[in-house]
Amino acid sequence: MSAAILPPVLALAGAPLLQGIITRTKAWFAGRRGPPLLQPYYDIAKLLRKGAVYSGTTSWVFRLGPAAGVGVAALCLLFLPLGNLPAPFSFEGDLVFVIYLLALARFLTVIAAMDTGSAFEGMGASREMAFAALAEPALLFGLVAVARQTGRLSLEGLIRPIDVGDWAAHGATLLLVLAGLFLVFLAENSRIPVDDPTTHLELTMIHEVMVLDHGGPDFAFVEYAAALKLWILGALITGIALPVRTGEVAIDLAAMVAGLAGLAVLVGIIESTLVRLRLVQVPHLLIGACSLALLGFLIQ
Amino acid sequence: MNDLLIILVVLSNIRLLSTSRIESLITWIGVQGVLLGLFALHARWVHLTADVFVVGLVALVLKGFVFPWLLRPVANVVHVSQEVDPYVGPMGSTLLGMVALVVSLWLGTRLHIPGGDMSRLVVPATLFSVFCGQLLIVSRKKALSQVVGFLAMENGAFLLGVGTLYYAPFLVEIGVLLDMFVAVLIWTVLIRYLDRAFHHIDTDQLQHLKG
Repeated sequence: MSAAILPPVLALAGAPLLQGIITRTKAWFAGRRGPPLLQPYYDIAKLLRKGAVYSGTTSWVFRLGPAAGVGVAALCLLFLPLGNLPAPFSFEGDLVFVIYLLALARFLTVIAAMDTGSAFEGMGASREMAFAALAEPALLFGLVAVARQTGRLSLEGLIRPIDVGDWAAHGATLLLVLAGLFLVFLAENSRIPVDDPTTHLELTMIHEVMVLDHGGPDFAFVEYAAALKLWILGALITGIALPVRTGEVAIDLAAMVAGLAGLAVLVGIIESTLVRLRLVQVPHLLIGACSLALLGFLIQ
Repeated sequence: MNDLLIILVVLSNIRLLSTSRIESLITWIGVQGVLLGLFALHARWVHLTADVFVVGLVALVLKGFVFPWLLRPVANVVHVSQEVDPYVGPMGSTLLGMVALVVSLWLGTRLHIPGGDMSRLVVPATLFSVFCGQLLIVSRKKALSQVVGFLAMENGAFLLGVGTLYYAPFLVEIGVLLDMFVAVLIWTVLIRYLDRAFHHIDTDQLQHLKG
């Protein structure tokens, strides 16, 4: 049980650090020193000390969104194993439950954005839903492809048994699934080439549009929920990609944390070297992710 | 390794469907050719004789480098960079391709090829390649895209031949490759003349021709 408490605690504490690593990598690529690794924590702390301003046209839905978003993301963590470390709770079929929780978190963000009555935020909400409709099947197909090999429908039963032997036997499938999941990871976390998390100026942004009206503690919650989502999808990818299953808690844990950090560095490299796709091309990318995951699901 | 090469061929087919730029169609049919050449060499590695090796090597060079090298200048000369108004767009093609992939894999389980110690992905991948080629031919209007579609279909046939037989008569295999070479050569000339006569290479406009 003691090992089972580690993944959620680690996620709650370490999630914003991943964003710090991404920012730092991008800074390094640009030849700058960059903000401290802990900058996301400072930002969240600063926002939590501020007061919130609410527009007169918003209702309780707007206030519910951010807090409930964090709650739902934290709920996901309860079912999320970290490599060989078990999740606190697990039941057959919880992978569908977690995917629905992620969808619920998205729904809460979207409905809060719609509640402001701003056409700009409505536009972002519509984009988010349109792209999510393509990203979700890819995520589901990818996870089910792995589930088909391990024969279990829970995240824990799906990720923990993957070892070096699985990679030797079904390497092609796992690679395809990983490629699909990685594209979903980039899209769902609004990273380049789908969305640029640093922009607040352009009409092509997706996630940042929806949270423009949130301020103070609400925005801190939004940021924290985004960090948790980054960690959740990242942990799924790392769990499949790194078949380190020694049984020693310390070694398994170190491998997964190193894997997550490596993933963050990879995202930073991608953001530094690629440009964002035109908005009309994003569906192509996501359909590509779907086909990769579907191919991984079908060939085995 | 064989499976990996076949999967990469399938992925390159999906890539062909998902693009409407002539330049990238030509590039990716070249990549597919290289993959098929490698597959031809690798799949028969255990039974490698001199003529099998020559066939594999000729296929690699011809499909991977010579065909793109012949087609690319044509694309530049006729000033066509993109399939502007295809019957089925890239998105639709990709989705149709995914359906075709499912159907191909299902058909592959029903269709047993004697011999059977080759990868079981060969038959589905073949069917998928042929379907992708056909889809490119019927859904695109530019003559160059249709040539690429034909090459993709032929690549499927090549995959089946290499994937299921350890040995085919040298004359047959090299003859097919030479046929392809001549066909591409004729098409490049034909497309240039098409462009010179009509100032476009839209094949759907050819139905307005009257004798």
